[in-house]
Amino acid sequence: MIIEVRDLWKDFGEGPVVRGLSFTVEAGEVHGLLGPNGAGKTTTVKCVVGLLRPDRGAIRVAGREVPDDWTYKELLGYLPENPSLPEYLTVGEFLLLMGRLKGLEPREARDRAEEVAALFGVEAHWERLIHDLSKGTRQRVAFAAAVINSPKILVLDEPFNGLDPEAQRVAKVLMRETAKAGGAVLVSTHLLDSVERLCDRATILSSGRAVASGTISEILRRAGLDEGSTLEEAFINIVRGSRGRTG
Amino acid sequence: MIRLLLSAKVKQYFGHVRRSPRSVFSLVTFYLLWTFVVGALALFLRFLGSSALGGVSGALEVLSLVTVTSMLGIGAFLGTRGGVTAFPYEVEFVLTSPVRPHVFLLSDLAFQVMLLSLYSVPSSLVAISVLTYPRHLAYLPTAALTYLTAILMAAMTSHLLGVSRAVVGERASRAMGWAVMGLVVLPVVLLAAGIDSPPWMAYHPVQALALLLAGDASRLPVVSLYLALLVAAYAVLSRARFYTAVSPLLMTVLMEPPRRMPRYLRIPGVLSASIGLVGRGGLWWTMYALHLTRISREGSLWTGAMVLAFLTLVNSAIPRLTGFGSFPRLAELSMVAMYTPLLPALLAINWNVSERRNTWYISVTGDALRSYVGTLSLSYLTVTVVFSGLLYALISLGAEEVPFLLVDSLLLFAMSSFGSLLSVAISVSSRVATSPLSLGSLLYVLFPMLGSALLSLPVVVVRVLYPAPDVVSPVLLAGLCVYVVSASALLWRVVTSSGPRYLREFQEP
Ligand SMILES: Nc1ncnc2c1ncn2[C@@H]1O[C@H](COP(=O)(O)OP(=O)(O)OP(=O)(O)O)[C@@H](O)[C@H]1O
Ligand SMILES: [Mg+2]
Repeated sequence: MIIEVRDLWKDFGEGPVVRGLSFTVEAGEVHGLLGPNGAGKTTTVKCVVGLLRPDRGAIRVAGREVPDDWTYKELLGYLPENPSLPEYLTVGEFLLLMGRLKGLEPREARDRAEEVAALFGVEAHWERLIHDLSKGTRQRVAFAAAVINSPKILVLDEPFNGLDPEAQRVAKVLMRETAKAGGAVLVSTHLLDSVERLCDRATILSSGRAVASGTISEILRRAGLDEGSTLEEAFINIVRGSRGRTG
Repeated sequence: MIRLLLSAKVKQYFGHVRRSPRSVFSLVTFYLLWTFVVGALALFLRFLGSSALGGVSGALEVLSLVTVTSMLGIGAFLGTRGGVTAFPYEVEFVLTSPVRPHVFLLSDLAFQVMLLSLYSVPSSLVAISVLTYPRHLAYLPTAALTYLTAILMAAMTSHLLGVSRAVVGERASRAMGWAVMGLVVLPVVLLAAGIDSPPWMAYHPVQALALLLAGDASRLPVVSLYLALLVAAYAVLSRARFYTAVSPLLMTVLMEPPRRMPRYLRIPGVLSASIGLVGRGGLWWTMYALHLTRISREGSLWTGAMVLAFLTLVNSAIPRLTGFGSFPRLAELSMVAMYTPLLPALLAINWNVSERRNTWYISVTGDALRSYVGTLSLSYLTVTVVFSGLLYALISLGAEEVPFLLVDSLLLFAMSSFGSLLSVAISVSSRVATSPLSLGSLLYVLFPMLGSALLSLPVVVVRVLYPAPDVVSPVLLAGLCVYVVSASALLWRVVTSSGPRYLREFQEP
């Protein structure tokens, strides 16, 4: 078990937005975090990476308590929902900086920065200020920065945001490879077609609770659908059903 | 439509206040404190003024001149930055809606006038009452009216310059802005340099307004003429299609987008080299280089330095006119020293507006937050020491000798050090300065200024009380050094140990 979330609660002062959420991500797994807008995906993800302190519940990442034992951060790659980047740095400077922050040695940091820049096709922008980049190019840079230390654990919040098909492909291959190497990937997204092909298991959130969890076919069964149906149909059935129950 | 736009603007501006009653309370407290501080300064000026040659009316005249200059100076300064105080949401949603240019412009004019009045009218009226008491009732009505006129003229100047961007281009418009600013500060510069102003200066708009504000009714026609000219120009230019020239000024007023930074201001060698070292040095060095790079590339350094120089200039006029000719050097030093913490305060405001949201990538990578916060204050200190030193050197150029060099340097260093640490402390632990022109920014400015003045008090006392430099014994000087260093070290410990805690639990604004 690489990521373990148990009975997570979070309240911003207007009533809980995550209400007793539990799920796990095993080694070798790409785990999808799905749910309608405002379901609490981003809040959950921020708790997992240690940017928000849970009101209640326990989170363990690679066996360490989050957020108090910060050593798990060395294993982590995180891509926020709307990454805010230092606009006054060039792409190269930012990637180098991230490499150093992740604890790489100077030489290593430079080599890896060049590698990930090439991987995400931003090496041509190396000398440009982030301020001047297009939205998708920024997302590529942020993604490249997230994986600069070849992290064992990837936590990605809507990673495909603004990426063109080519970059989406790179991102997906990277997620699969991380899982295959024994790591774990937690990815929040609304692209259900991708989830079907990419994720081993998924958790569907609705109003801060897990309303379905398991492999894709388990989720289809849970929605009362057969193997040939799409995740989209299952998602809509399940979310509508949960809304009906909670009023 | 104007009212609709205006109310949306006001709601956005006070947005963070709506979140909690506590922030309302703290803002009101600080507003009152601000008014109180201005009143106290006026009282101080009154006592000094009545004992010096100029007397109370002299002090009033200087105060009027300084306030009018600052007001119109702010107007021209905003003008060089684009003039129209638009929020990002306005650029994206209002300007793309079928809203006529002059409607949008008028709503912004009302907003600027409201804002400037809110900040300055009550406090200035308090100052004027203090200075003219017991005849204050006779002064106040004219003063209030003149004041509003000055504010209106400032806002219109800022708009005219901003809109002119769309007509004559950005460069020409900026140049015009700088020219206007030069014109605005001319009377104060003459005053500071001790040059008697020629008779036609009475027709200079700033001088005329200042005289009117000080109760000289004969300047009314001149002022009316200027106002009429401005209104006419405004009426013509507000029909221009200026939407493409509008930028979200409210956020960036104290910064420059990195792309637009002129190349020659990027401090070529030094800083690009330092960030080049990011790959080589240790973590602390990397973070230090990061801060310095940001400060120099986003341009907050230049704005801060300019504001500092401007204020020093304006203020060195006060002792000249009120006739403290006997110890102007002390007054000038105290001006540089008093305003020194302003520079880190401005840097802190910009940090809160533009850089706080980037701290996520520090928080999620290991334990770098401590070095981030520590080097943040170090970078402020570096910049502040360099600039206050330069300003001091500039002022000392005229003097034949610099007798108090050691004590002065220590004072400047103390103010820089305390100011930097306090600025980091306040900006990291609170998030009220949501834009450079917000009420919360006042807190970011007042806290380090008052705090470092208090902490530097021992040095100030020695500087003021000792008549000659050779009386200050080396032992006393060493003692002061020890005090400054150990107090700074203590503050540093507090900032670096509790600062990261505020940043760790990152939340988007
Ligand atoms: N800082 C905050 N302060 C107050 N409420 C917040 C804050 N952050 C999130 N919320 C609330 O928490 C709830 C969950 O938000 P969250 O961002 O986690 O949703 P999400 O599942 O990521 O949605 P989306 O699909 O739109 O990204 C929402 O109702 C949101 O309004
Ligand atoms: Mg989200």
